[in-house]
Amino acid sequence: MNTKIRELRKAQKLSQAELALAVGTTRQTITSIEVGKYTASLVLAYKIARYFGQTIEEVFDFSEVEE
Amino acid sequence: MAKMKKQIERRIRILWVGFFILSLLNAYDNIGPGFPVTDYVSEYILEFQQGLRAGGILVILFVICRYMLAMRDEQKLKKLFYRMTDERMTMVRMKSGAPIMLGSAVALLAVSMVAMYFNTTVSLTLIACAVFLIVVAAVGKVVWNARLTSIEDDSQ
Repeated sequence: MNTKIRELRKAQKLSQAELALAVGTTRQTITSIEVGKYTASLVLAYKIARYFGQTIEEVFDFSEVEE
Repeated sequence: MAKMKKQIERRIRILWVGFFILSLLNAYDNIGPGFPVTDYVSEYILEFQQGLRAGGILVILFVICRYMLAMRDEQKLKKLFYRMTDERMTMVRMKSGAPIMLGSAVALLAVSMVAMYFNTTVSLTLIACAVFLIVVAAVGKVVWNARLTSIEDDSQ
């Protein structure tokens, strides 16, 4: 799943470790979500979106998800 | 975070109890009169159990040190907590089946300790099975960790 996390993070000059600490996860998990190797749970997705002041749909791209 | 601190403090206390029990048993065996060799309990059994206890003591000390270092630093405690509760790590553990395999390995080791008093071959086979399970669990964790993690690291 594509996400805007990297762009949002870079815009705020935030490292993966800092974001991970802010949302209560590990740096490796943030890396995996950014490159699409891991799909975040609803709770983590909500925490990340809330951290950037956006909605989940704005941060995570659901266009590839089949209806 | 206070809940996490309490949980770690409780774990440390339990580990200290385990440490003292194993240390006392090893001290009794080495410094004290020691466990006697009988028709059923050979020297091999006693030495193996002593080695197992020594290994247990080392593992317990390592974990205690890790927890105590984390308790001194709020940041390290947070990182430890997030690592323990991280959803990706939980998924890696679940996919690799590590908890059930490690649990089975511990059970097999416990049974092998009892079997030692009756049949050495059976006990050695059980120990080999336990080691095999531990290795499979470790390999499974490595494989699933690699599948769910990217080597790409962009820290800034």
